[in-house]
Amino acid sequence: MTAVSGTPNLVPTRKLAGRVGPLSGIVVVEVGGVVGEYAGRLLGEMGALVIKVESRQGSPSRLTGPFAVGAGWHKASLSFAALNVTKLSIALDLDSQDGLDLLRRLVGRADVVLESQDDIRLLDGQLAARLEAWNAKAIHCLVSPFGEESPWAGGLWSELTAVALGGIAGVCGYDDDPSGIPWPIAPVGLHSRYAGGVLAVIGVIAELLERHTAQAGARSVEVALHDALAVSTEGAVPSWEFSHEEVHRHTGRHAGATDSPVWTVLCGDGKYLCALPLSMNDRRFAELLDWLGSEGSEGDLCDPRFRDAATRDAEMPHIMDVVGKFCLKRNSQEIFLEAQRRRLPWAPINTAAELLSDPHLIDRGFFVEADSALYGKVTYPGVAFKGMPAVYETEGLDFCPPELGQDARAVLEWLGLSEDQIRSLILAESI
Amino acid sequence: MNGISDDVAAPNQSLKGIRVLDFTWNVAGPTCTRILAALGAEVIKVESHTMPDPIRRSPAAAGFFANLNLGKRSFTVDAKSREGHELLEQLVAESDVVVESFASGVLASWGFSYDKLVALSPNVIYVSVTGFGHTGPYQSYVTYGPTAQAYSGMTHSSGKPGRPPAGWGYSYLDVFTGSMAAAWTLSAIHKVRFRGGGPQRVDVSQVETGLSMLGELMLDAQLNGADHRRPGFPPGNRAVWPGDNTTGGARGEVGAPYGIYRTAGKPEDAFCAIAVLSDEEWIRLRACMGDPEWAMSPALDSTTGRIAAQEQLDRRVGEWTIGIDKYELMSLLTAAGVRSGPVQSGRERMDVDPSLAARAVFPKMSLADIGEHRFESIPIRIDGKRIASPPTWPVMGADTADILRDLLGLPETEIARLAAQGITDRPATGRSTRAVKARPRNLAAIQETS
Repeated sequence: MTAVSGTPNLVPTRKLAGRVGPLSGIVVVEVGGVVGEYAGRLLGEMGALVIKVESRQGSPSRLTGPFAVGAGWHKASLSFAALNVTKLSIALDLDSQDGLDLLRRLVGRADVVLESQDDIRLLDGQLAARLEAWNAKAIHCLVSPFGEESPWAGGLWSELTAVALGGIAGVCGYDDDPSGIPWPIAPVGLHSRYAGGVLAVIGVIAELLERHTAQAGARSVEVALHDALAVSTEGAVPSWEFSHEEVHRHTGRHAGATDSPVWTVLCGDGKYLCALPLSMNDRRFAELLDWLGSEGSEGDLCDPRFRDAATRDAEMPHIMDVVGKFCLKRNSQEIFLEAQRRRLPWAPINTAAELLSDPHLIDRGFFVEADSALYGKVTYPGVAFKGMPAVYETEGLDFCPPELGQDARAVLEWLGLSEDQIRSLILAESI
Repeated sequence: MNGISDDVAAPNQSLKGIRVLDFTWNVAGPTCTRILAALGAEVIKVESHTMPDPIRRSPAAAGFFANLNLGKRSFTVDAKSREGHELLEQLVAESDVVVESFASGVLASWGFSYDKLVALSPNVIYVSVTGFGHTGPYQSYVTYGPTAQAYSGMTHSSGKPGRPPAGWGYSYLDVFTGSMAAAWTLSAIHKVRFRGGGPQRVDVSQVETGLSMLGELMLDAQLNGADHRRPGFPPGNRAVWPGDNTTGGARGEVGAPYGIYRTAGKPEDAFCAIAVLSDEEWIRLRACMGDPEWAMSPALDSTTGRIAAQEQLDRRVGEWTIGIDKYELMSLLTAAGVRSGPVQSGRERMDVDPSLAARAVFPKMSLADIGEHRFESIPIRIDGKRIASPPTWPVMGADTADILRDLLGLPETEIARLAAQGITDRPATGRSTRAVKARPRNLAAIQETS
């Protein structure tokens, strides 16, 4: 039985030490399924060394789309890439004693053991329980769909059902569907994992801080994706609790107990634009009127009654009608720039792809580029802030999503295994 | 005091000794600092009587405001007065973290540039939360949550083919960016404490936060030339649209039937999501439906076949689900091993959902001036215990005198003079801004950020 698999001797050894970032020097061992993978990425972006322990078949997220067609179907998962940049991969056969021993040694070196417990498991319950016993000083962080203590614990999970249960789909959707049915919509993406992941990271860093002040050993951190989503719907929960009103879906705008003017307008170039009319105070309305007037498109908005804020609020659907006609004849980018010059909080509804050439994001250095055998030369989204150095500023760092087992040799060397020991694993076809 | 009787909760002290000077308002910034407060930081919310946090004037007023500001203290000051400015300088000097969510350049225009903050507090962590960030050609642009969502690609990722975007239904980026800012703030505290200190700047952008969650779409465009404005994308509630030249869906999962189906009950509330991700799961769903003849067609045996037949499948599945209550449907399907979940409203998450109830995600607390209500927790469990948010909220100006006395060491006579002269209290002619009275407005208006 092989203990380690992958192709570690076929690719260059990647850098483990010297990562830049506020959590540099922290070691995270990531095990289990897919629900905690974003937490691992974020910890990695903060400079932690994140070692992803996979089964010999690889993380289940390697088998989910979208895929890079050029790399061959089911070879290069882009959702895996999105959730696993910055990590190193070692693939272990946990049915073998050698594999278990290596996992034990890895956990022994960890500051944080990050475990995803979903219905596609790498670890059985017994092994999961042993992780904590193997290193009492490590913070054990468990991410799962519903939590350990829940009537739904261990229940089946999917991105779609998670955002339905968690409340996002209940507030997103259409109030003007031709069918007459106010369909809820679940946005595409990996959002339950983002919502749960960021909270898991908050819990982990809080415990890293606590660990140094408390006398006791490390404590465990637990986050349920369902809980994380349930507190992410802004007005929906407080509206029920404090006003006893349910919010209703409104196309492209906030769900609310009452209706609001449509603020999504179609522009001449075929793009939609968010022409946000909230906080339309006297100054903003004067700017809007001046702008529309300068192009002869103000309609009846120069009527003195619109100078009154309450009238404007009441007649906002009509104002937005005039705005809509104006935008229909113009290019969304031109509208955006002129609206912002006039301090109106409008923006085009972009696709993620369109932002790859965005001058503002490029100027801020948001994007990071990297070349890897699996994904080729690609631009990835970087960290969502500027200032404090994060991992992407590490010189010579290959932060690309790892191939399965790509970093086995580097990790084994780092664990202190001798060349002979590593060779014997290779001879046993273990790596 | 805190929570329900069988709920296990403990206050968290991870940030004990950390003082946060909090200039944030609306939703995104306060979401960040409420997390820091729940972790034991002393958070001093700074406002002026003439320009209080706009959420104080929102319809659900005190409750909604308190929910966003649990555990913080309130300090009021006229920042534009010379003496008020000096008091703020002294507070900065006593603080470890300064957080703000004004438009870019506003705090600097008050005389609190990053360099000035560092001069006052050499290891300060300065966190700002804005739409576009404090650098770059669009740094001065005005954004609220929906603006940033539109720009970032988030809005476009939600909707049905051939229809305008459905968007996010609220300022999700306010909530998520608040959490993201808290995570990076915590990391900065870790850096200052254990990795060599020095001041830190964390200039958080909502647009970047949104785009950082759309990595797979960015890669799809580059590696596959995917056009996200093609017909069939975004695919509504489906994993992929039939006929779409897909490379495997954008939700990290593919299957059919896969969607949100109507169930018994009022059309607004009665929906349940079902996600069939394998052939085995299809056979299970089919059995739940009683193995109807139409479902036994060999054309539906494979995922590819079912994706091609989604129109028919969705209609048939919908005809079955519309006769069943959504929670009964979930029980039935879960027992059979089919992934499902009702679309839940705010009320249902608070009053019906057994998992959120068992985990006390909306714990009851009794707050001054507000009474006993349920609030949103920070749903992180430490050693099996829920983090208990402090059962307090920043009543406008309630902590000003204490902070002047205990933190800045001012004598009572001086505290009284500053209040009387309108430096730390409302000017004699000013209107009351204490957040107890509701002003009826559309809820949408309270869900903004700056």
